Amino acid sequence: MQKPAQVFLVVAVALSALAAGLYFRGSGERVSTTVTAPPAAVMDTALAGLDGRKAKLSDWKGKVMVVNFWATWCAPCRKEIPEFIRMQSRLGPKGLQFVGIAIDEMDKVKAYAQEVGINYPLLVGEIDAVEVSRAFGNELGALPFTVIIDRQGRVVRTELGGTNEAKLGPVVEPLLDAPAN
Amino acid sequence: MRPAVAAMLLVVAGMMLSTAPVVAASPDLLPARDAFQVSAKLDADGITVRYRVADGYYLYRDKIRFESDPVVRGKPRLPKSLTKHDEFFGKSEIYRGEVVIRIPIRTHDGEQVTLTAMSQGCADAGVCYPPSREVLALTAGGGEVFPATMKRSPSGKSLIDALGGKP
Repeated sequence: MQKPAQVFLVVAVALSALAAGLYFRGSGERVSTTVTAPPAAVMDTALAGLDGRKAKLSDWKGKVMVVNFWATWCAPCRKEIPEFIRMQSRLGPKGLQFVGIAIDEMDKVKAYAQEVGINYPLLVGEIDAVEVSRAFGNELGALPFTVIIDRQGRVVRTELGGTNEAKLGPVVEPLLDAPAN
Repeated sequence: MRPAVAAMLLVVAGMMLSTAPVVAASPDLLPARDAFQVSAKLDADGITVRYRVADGYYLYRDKIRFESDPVVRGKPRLPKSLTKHDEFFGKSEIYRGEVVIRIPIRTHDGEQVTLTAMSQGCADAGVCYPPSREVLALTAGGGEVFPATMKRSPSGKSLIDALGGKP
């Protein structure tokens, strides 16, 4: 290859990289993909389940977990839940476990869960639940907020704002194939 | 080969830009207190509460509530709201920009009222904030008052009590 052509190619590749960078930056996604171990206290925070019994995130250790912080009063939260229900049905047998943590009232959560047919465990809390989401990096305490935890208990992705099957699937499915230890 | 060096710098710049959002999870969203700034003042004929809602954010009308100590009997007069068509909640009444609410009460100079202003809102970007309670210590004739301290946990009534009503 002659020199001018070589320079042209390098510049073209560079400009594409810059454009890609600007594109992804401009997409407005609030995603973190830094792999971290959550503080043990967060995984062991006991919150009330719909059956009245307390549960903690560490109860599902060894599964690939998708922890979704939500509320019935949050419209963008309601939008994504039907996709979570579908994913739980499809990938639950492979070891995927959705857990919903509602910043809400127990009665409203029960009624909504029945209405839309939520097929994964729900925990309900107030400030204690907001604090759990903050510990996962949700500094604003805003909703919806979704955390993916691998079989080793590491946080591999967090996302503030609505998500969907198309975004979660490619992250979750390879984790399901990974061994627990 | 200067153009190649420049090109390499562009590659690096592109990579840095593409990874920027990964470093900070929510660089473009305001904390609730900044998105929905509240202040109030107490005059001889009542309390004036002012919300300054940042561009791109909105407050739900039916989530705005007040408590006071001592209890004041005046009913808050909320201004005209905007109708938002929501996929899940149907027609919702919301506020954007500046919201001025009057609570008519009779006071005398130097009288003190502790007002708790409760609200809940969302960002157009697709996130909602938990209900907030801001405490404002008002003195009649004392001018405009802003919330004193950052309070993560509400005192007194529970966070969810503050919400009340239907979503």
